[in-house]
Amino acid sequence: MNKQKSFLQSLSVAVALTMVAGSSSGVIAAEKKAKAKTAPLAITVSPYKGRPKENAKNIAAGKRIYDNACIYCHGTTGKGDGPVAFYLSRDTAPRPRDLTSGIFKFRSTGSGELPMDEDIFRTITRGVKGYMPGFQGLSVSDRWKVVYYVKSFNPDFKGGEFETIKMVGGPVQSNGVSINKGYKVYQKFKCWECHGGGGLGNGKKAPDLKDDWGFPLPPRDLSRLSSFKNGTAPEDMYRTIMAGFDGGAMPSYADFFEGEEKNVWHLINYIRSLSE
Amino acid sequence: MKIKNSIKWAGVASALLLASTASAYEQIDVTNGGTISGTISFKGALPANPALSITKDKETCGTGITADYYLGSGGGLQNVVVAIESIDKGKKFKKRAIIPFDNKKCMFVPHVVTAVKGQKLGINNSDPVLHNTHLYSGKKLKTMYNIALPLMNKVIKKPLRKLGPVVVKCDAHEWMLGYVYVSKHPYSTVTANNGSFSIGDVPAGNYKVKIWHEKLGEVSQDVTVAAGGTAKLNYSFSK
Repeated sequence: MNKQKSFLQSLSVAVALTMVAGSSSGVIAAEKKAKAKTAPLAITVSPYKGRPKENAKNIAAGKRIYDNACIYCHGTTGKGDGPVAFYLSRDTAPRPRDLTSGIFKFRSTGSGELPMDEDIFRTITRGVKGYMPGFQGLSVSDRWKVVYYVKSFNPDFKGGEFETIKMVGGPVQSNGVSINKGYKVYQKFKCWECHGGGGLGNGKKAPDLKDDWGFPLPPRDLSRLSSFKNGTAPEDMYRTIMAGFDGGAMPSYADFFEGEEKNVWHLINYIRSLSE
Repeated sequence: MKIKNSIKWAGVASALLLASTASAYEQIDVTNGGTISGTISFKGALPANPALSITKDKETCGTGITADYYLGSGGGLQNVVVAIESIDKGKKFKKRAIIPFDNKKCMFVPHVVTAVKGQKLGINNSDPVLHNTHLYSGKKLKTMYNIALPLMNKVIKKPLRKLGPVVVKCDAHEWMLGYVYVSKHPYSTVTANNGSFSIGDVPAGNYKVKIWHEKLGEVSQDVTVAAGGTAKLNYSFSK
């Protein structure tokens, strides 16, 4: 009985947080402005201002925020086993991330690598479509402090080799020629085997795909741009294609597009055209 | 395509240096070294390999395939890793060697292979269908790489940085399974079809040798190698 009550309390807090998170348009506008300035480097360089130092004091401050905002799903020890997690889509992916595992989907680093600080910041800011709320309601400084605390869950963040995916070129004008080129890339690089000939997520390999924890994780229906978990901008899609989603089945295509990155931008135009 | 993140790199360089001096393998000229050789066998008839359910790409993968967990002949057991557990200095090896690892008819070829840490796995796709080679390492089976292989016959080279058995899977064909056993030294090998193996140029001394099979587990055996001699190591797994 007690458990039930505490769950309901947690849930109401979580709902309240979600609402708070969605209501800070001033901050979003400021970030958009900052982002526009540094767009070509958006993948490797943080477009966000006001980043505090990563030190013990700010990690402790991050923990206080985390304990208020994040434990309901991610748990007090970061294992993705908070009280709400128990009720969230128990038999299907994605589960709340086990932040101790070192496995992160949304990265601008190579397959199998830890994410950049900026990647974690972006996920906290935007949330994950359909799953995790965005936390623009927290100040930029507070979000960074949460990033630092989240990193403290896995000792590998303290050392090791990071390889970042470098964004080569930039979005190209979407027109018939580019979309047609993108369609050919989609065919040649066999995206259709999982995502389906029409991009509806119904390819021949779709039914058997699972995440690393054995939960069914079907490929994305590419005709629903607004549902893309890693973001909908061409730059976000570039990151997804090149880095893959660790923990899920989406592999990294970085090796195969090396030297012909322009094709990735055409592919992105084709995928985006499926939602029009 | 990829660049080192120099900022973080510099921050951890000293830590890495400390770690590497503590556990580095030193390459030397081994003179009058010994050999460890023998046969790994299985008591009784080999367990049956389960039939694999091929649900897609049948024109490439074929049908009626069985798993390749238990292979061997004449009582010998194939695909067993035999590796010295700990050795600080010994024979030279090619750091730049590329270990071939193919996706062929929706199976990994070879099924089990050994490598030295820092060497690269040369992943290839010989099939006209999409494969993805997904490597997992450590007890928690953390993703090491998940590489798309959409085109045939383009070798993708990926460095092996973690020690121990690396499990290889393909999300696109869930029955595919392979292993790369990574050591910090070159004293490791995989048994042939008759279960035999041989590890040469071993400096004289006492060693613990690990014997690892994907389904039967691992054991450790003590072996004494005399200068210029051959130490016999036979082991028999049983169900």
